[in-house]
Amino acid sequence: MFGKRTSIFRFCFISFLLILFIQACDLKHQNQETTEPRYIVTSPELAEILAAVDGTDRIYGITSECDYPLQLAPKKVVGTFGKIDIEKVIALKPSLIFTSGLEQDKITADLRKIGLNPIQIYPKSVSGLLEAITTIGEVTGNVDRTRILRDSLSKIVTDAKKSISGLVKPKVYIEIYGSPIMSVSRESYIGELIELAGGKNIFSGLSREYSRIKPEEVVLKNPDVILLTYPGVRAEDILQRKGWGIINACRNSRIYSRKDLDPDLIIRATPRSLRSIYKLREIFYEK
Amino acid sequence: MRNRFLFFLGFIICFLVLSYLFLYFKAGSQEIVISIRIPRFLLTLVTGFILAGLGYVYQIVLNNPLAEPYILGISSGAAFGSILAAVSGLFLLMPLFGFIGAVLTMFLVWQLARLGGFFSSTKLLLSGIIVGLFFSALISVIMYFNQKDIGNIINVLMGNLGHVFSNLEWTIFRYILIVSLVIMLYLFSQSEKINIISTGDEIATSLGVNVTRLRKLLFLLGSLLTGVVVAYAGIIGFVGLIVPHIVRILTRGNKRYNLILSACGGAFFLLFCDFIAMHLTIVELPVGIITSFLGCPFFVFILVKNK
Repeated sequence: MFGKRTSIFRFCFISFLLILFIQACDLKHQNQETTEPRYIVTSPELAEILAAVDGTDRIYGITSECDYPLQLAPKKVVGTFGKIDIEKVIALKPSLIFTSGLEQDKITADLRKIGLNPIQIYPKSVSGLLEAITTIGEVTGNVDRTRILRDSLSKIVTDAKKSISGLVKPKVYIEIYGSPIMSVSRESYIGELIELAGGKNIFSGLSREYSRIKPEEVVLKNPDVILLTYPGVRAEDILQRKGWGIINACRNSRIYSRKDLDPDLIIRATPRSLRSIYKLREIFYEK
Repeated sequence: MRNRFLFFLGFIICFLVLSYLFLYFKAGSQEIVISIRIPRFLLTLVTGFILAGLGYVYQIVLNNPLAEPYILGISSGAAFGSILAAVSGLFLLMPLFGFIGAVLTMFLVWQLARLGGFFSSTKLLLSGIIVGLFFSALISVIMYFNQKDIGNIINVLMGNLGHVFSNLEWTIFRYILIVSLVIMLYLFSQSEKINIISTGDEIATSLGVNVTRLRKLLFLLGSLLTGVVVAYAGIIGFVGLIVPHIVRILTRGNKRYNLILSACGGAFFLLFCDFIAMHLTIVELPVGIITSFLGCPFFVFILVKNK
């Protein structure tokens, strides 16, 4: 009887101590006050846009994928596109953090939770890119400079559209991944660039932007040009695929891989990607 | 007596050193310690504490050395809930969904185990495994169709103690923490009865323990605690399965304090693993990888030394 009462008393006493201890851990995040603008940018696309609009001086942190322009190389790396070290972000005391979409939805939510100031920009199309440039120009206070950049880029787009009307368009197959093989629809950014450069994307009608496709469909649709954007693949690998030899592109050896065109130029929605429309056109209308 | 005292003292000193390193190593500023490290510290401690403690209880109550907190399917159910919230974009609700998933799974397993009118630990295990497999298949489907959320899904499936708390979430978590620890204390107070079960149902019953009732109660409370852990930290393997065995080998069957020792050992072990996971590479590793990586050789070492 005596033993039982002591153990209940001990139980209550320890519970009480626990409650006291845990209630003492009442921590609150405070918004950090910073005077000068300090930016962290977590996607290579946004890094390029930001550098084009505002320069690289006020960028204090990047992710490991941000490799262009080269002035970003000495900046502090706060993680990768998919996994960001929040402690490093806080340590840099950023006034503004530029985050992208996809895997970064959760990262953006987490940054907001602890009272930081993320701004999420994920351009999915050419018009989205122009909008992103405007937004970044506004938040960094570069409205005039942005307007010039934007106008010159819009001009590239309208010129491109004008110059391709009436041409006989080559059929283009873009392979963004090899196992399983994947291509892009017209809704994707690369898909849009291909059409602007005067190519006819054979998978433009896919239901998802980036999607798995069947190899027999490629053979059936018989593209004139094949563009490979992922690492570790050579034109010869495509020629050796069973049954692909009858495709026009294979017969005329018009298969282009990373050594012909840097995929970062067309995969990332950036100002320089619009200038690469000309390069794409050279590839499509060679001969 | 003297030996035990020294061991205890050593453990406390190691624990304090580790805690200090965990909180301040490369922390940069006080702000980081307060808003990131302390919540992580408490989450890690309570996760290891609960997992290893429950592992010990389950291994005895289910009479199976392979039992662990996740064996009853709870983890898959909770993971499914969290992942569902993540792919719907409801990141703030991930813990809530995880917890709801755990509770629903628990009732499902419970009902399956009761089919046929009687209740046995074998049936309970089987229903747990079946329900777990079913939810794993559902998770695979979600993974296949939501490639962009793969990072979040990996966090849930391989364990991630770096949950970012907002002020509101932290307040809620503190209450959950209190409830969980009080439940753990209750389990400690029942540890004598739990140990009696390990001698066999007949003997335990003859000693005045209501075995069926105690099993049900432990199962319910255990599932709740597992739900809390998975909701915040994802699925962290190894701790619940191996730490109790290590403690059992080290204490050589001295059962009186094994439950408490398991729980504390689990907390210490997980704290160490998470510290490594945080600092080993530039990008933080999922802690589940580290637990098995460090734990398996350690287990073999202990096994060989005490053969």
